[in-house]
Amino acid sequence: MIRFRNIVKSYGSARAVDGADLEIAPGELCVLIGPSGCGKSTLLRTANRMVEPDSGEVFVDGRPVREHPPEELRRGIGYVIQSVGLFPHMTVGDNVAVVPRLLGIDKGEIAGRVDRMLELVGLSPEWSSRWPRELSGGEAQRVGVARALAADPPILLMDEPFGSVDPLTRVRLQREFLAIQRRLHKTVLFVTHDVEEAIRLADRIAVMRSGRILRHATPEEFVATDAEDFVGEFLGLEYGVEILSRRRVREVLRPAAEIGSDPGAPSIRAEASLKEALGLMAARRVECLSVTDGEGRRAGSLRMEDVLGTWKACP
Amino acid sequence: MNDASGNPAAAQADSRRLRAPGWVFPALLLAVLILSVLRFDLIESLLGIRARGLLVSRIPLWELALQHLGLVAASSAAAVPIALGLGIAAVRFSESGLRALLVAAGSAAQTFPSAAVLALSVPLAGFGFAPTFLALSLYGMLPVLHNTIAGLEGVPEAAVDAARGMGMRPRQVLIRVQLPLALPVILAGVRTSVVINTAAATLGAAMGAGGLGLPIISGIRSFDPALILRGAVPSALLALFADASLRRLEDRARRAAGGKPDGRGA
Repeated sequence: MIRFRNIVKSYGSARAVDGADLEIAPGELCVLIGPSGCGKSTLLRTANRMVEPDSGEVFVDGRPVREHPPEELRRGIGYVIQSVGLFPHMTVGDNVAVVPRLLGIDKGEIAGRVDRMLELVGLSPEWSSRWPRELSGGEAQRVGVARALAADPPILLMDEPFGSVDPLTRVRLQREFLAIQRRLHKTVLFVTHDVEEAIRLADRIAVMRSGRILRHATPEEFVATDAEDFVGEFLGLEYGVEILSRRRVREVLRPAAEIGSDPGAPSIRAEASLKEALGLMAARRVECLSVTDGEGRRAGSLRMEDVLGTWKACP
Repeated sequence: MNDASGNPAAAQADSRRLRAPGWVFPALLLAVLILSVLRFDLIESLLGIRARGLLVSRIPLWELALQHLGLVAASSAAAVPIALGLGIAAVRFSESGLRALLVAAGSAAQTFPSAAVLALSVPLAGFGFAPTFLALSLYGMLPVLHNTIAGLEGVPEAAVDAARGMGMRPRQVLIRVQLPLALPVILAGVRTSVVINTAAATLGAAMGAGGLGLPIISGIRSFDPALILRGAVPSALLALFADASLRRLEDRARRAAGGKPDGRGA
């Protein structure tokens, strides 16, 4: 769906992107991660021609992007940035309607679509008449996402979209965005420098450094990374624990029938992540948790070995 | 509306109405201005002075005021669109050096005394309305140009980036995003320009353009302070009126740019 082939871009004597190759399959959420200044934003911006590469080629749907007039290309690609960039002189509804209007979609259709988009990002249609200055950071970013999705583009470019909201809101926005993505199956290129965010969201992670893609793989495949090289160092030793956030307790729990009751074990929801389960075990210094379902009924139990799998014994 | 007792919402609406609406002050200034040019003798008797009448012009004061207004209006009408266009071009083609050139030229010109600008335009445009109009137009362009550049450059970069990234053409970015957001700053430039030119237009009398500068010049020649006031007071009132009414327009644009609902309903 999106393919970057040997992209090079310099600013003055500094090479921002230095021969980057990356391919994102249709419907895949690819998180591009790397330290500040590694060229990840620049690379992202070559996809909608906000940046023109010095050499190399970007293909969207198999066609080089430079064959499209930039404005038409951009109207077909959703764009979300960290600073949101809502237009302060337009209502929330008018902000969401910008691209549909540019595309000449008729008014009645646009009004309905604005309401649907706001609902999609968890805001009721009444928000349509509010002004950007009345929104909190998290609300503004929801509107930013609704605006990017309003013309139903097959591709989304997201440049640190949740980078400037508080950690709690960020996690909520990530979860909601993931739910939206599971429904809409957009092809997403998502830039961040937050490893946890990458683990939560990514189908595949691409690690970038000094203008090049070092490694592109699924989050699970990164577990085996050598801790000594740059990728391992960047992801950190805690990666092995962080990755547990991708799996739910209900996926590994032992059904209640299988084992006896374990009175006194702390309880955890079946929808919690394995990382949360491990955190609870560490905090309470227990090896076993009691798992409850959505209604608070006991659903089974969880042991540390269910979370961590089998271990190699110490030599 | 008809019953404010014990109703907090109504009480709030009432207290809001007690504050003078924005147009009251400009309207008051306009009334005093009209009164002063029709019956300046009232102001003179109020101050206990009287022009000695040696060099009092045969042209009635209201006619001089209209001449003055014409000069200011004509020169502003010419200056504002040109300066706006130059400012937009300067920002749009900032790499070409046009911006640097215009800002440098503008700053240099601003340091030049307006009297000298007027005097120097005589050899270019002769005597009378034309040189005054030319000089006032040129002089009036500077604040508008300066504020257009500052206003456009002050538009949040994120809004412009988002506008481009969503597929607006450069002209659409300018008209739909940059200009509406820069408008309050641009209007502040227009206000400065009009106020400065209202004062500077009195110098036009020396170029034979008439206006409220005429009694001032006559008053200086005949050592008659009362006669000077006859030109100075209406001219100052005109400047104050222009300032107050344009400031109101500016506030409205500022609310629109910040998305504040403008008091209606709510």
